[in-house]
Amino acid sequence: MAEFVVARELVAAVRIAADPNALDTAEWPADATEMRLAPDEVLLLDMLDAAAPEPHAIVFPDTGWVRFVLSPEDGARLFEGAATWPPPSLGFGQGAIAGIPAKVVVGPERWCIVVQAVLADDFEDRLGSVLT
Amino acid sequence: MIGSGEFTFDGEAVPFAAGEHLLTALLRAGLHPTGGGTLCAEGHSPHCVAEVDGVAYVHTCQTIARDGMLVRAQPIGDAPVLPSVAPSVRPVVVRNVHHDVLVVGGGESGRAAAASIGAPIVDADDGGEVIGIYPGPMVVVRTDVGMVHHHVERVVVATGVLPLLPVCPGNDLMGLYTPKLAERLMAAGVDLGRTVTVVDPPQRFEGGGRVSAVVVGDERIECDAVIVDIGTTPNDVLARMGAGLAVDVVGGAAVVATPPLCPAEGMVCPCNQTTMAGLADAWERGFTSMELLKRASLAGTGVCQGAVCSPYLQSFIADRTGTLEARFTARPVARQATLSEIAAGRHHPAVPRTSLHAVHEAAGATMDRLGGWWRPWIYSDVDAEYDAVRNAVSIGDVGTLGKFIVSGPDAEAALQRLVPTDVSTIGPGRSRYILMLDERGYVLDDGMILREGEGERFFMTLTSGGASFAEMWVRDWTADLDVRWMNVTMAMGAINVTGPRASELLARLGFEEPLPMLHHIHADVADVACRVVRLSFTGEVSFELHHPCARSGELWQALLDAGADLGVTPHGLDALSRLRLEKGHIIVGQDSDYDSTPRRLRHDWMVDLDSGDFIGRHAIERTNRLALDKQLVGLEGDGPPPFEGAVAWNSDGTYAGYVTSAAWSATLDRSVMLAWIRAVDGAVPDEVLVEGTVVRRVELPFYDPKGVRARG
Repeated sequence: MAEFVVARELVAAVRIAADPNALDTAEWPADATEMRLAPDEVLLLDMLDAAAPEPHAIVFPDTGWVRFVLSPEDGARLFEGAATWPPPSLGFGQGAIAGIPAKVVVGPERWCIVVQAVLADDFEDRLGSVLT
Repeated sequence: MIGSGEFTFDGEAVPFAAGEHLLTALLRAGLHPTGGGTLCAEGHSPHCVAEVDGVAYVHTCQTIARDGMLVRAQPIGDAPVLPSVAPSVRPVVVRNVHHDVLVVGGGESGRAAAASIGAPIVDADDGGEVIGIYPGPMVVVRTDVGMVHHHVERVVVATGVLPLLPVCPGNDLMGLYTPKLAERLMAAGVDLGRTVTVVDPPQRFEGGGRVSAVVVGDERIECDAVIVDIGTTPNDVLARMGAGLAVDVVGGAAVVATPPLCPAEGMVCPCNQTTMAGLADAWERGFTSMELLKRASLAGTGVCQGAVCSPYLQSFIADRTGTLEARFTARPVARQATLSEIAAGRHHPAVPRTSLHAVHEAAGATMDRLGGWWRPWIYSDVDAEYDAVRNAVSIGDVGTLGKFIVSGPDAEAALQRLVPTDVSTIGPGRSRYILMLDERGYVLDDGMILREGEGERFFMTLTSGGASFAEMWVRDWTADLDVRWMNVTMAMGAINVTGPRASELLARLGFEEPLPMLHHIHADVADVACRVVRLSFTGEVSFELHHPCARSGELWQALLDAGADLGVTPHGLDALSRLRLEKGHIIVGQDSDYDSTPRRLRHDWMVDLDSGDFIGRHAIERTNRLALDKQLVGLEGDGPPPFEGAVAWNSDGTYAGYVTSAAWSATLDRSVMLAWIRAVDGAVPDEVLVEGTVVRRVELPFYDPKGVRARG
């Protein structure tokens, strides 16, 4: 693993596709990291399962995500070198980083970037080319 | 501070002082980058460009000299030459920065604009050379340390004015300078000799190679150098480039200037050697507007992007029509840029790797990019892989399949709209092979629809390369329905267990339930929760095991371990391609073409016109009434298989079609192929010639036509 990555890990997640109104009003466990991917889709990190917010919702335990944890300094450098969109000042954002679809949660002490596992190796390579 | 030293110009050593531009040093040495023409100090005149360290079209008036630089003259008005030395290939760094507003130009109007709104300034004199303004808007700037992409809400272009360069006979001589350059040269101690400053457009310059006199009005003045101070013109290339974007233009660049008097003679576009006579000739041929004149004469299409000629094109047209036409459209790039600079910050789309990628590599598989994924093409022995499927048991990675979960009150109606089959007749735990058509009735994709239990929930698979497009397609077409879609292509692994001993292998891993063809069930295999789907692409008994991708490795290994004595062997795509071809199964995108209807593909049995209103229905009904003009058919031959794409000929030498898939069938001991063949007199011929060999049309499938083996 590249030196600048604080951690790279497979992340337990649940993805839910549901009626947007149901997702708007749903409440998730406090320790879950919520990523609203689309009006009708949410990704909950650090969870193995979740209650369906409405009867027809698709609740899918999703093992296909990898989380990269960066320092705020490296996170900012990564965005400056490889993203055409500004990172959120705090919280969730999504878009391409180094040409790879990514989700980011910006926190005061660490930046978590989540990419699909099938693209994680490419992402780490590209991350390295930007940060080194 | 960059030290003094020497660079070479066409092999000749040229000394320079610290911090000096290449052009200054060249002129001090009595050299001229292009042999003549008016030089400016602002990167607009095309007369100062040269190849520098292998990079062409570098403005020497803006390039600080460094020791050891290799500078070479390059022709003006001629085709670009290949670099004499390999250009530097070091990666170009990109910085993305975000502002509300960015001001381009650090002159008086730019500083005023920046001060009033608190915006940063990009200015060439401070090392920020704007390459172009792109939609966004995005301003791309070259700096000493790389490229900067400014992503902004609004751009203020304050690029001021440019010196007007003279157009008259002799304007390609040496010794002609703008005031700013002359000032710079004199400050650097360059001896210009006898100088004369002209403020009116000269009649002509005289001299042999170097100017020796200038004629202004009736006056002829002998000199060694002329400082041409005949006016200015708006520096509006970036302003015109920003037309239609969130771009404001202020100061001199915004002024609609009165064009200069139309010259009678002279080189108007030194970049392309276009003369005033050339403009007149284009005009006489009917190119009587700014944009047409540009295209016909090439004036404005060169290095300077019209900096020299555009005012004169305006005056030329105004002289003939009395109308002041706007200058021509400007598009990026505004300055020479290398491919490295253009490509900087761009990335190829990443090719996804399945959850078994590392396993395949460890097994020595040859990996290739197929269907938008890295996939194992062959492990070590394609014949052994083939044999394992036909005679024992084999496993293949099919995690690349497009995979969707569909749910909601309107899920069935949504699928009914998307595919030409009666989805209501797919029972719980059952599945069906489906086509997906576009509005023209052409096949977009194929796959399977599986109904879960009694509820309105389905699982759908599509081809490996089609998932991303399919997701947009299905969402667009069902946006008005109460349905939820989830694309789980990247999240689920899938392993195909295939061969006459496939059931036996799965039984060893805990799956013993008899599963009929086209049925599916949720079950544990080797303690991994799987959706087990009974189907067949290889022609043998097959089970697809769809499972969480994080567990692919252990499931794969469990299958290998449990089946070792059964001869289990992984198969790659090379073997799979042969196996499915023997069964006549198509691969959408390889065997289908852009205009493949189900009938042309011989898949019209998959279209149920009684199933309601599906996408493509009306086109299918219409084209079904037309005579069949071509068809995908099975061909077999006794010789080696042709290459895929080989042309098929009729016996009379007319074109018949082409081969889409071909392989040698070890089982059948002949070549088998799929090919598009044109109908002749309403029928597809029984024989055609491919690569000089007669091949016969046969019914599909080639192998096990009754499907006995697949059903087990």
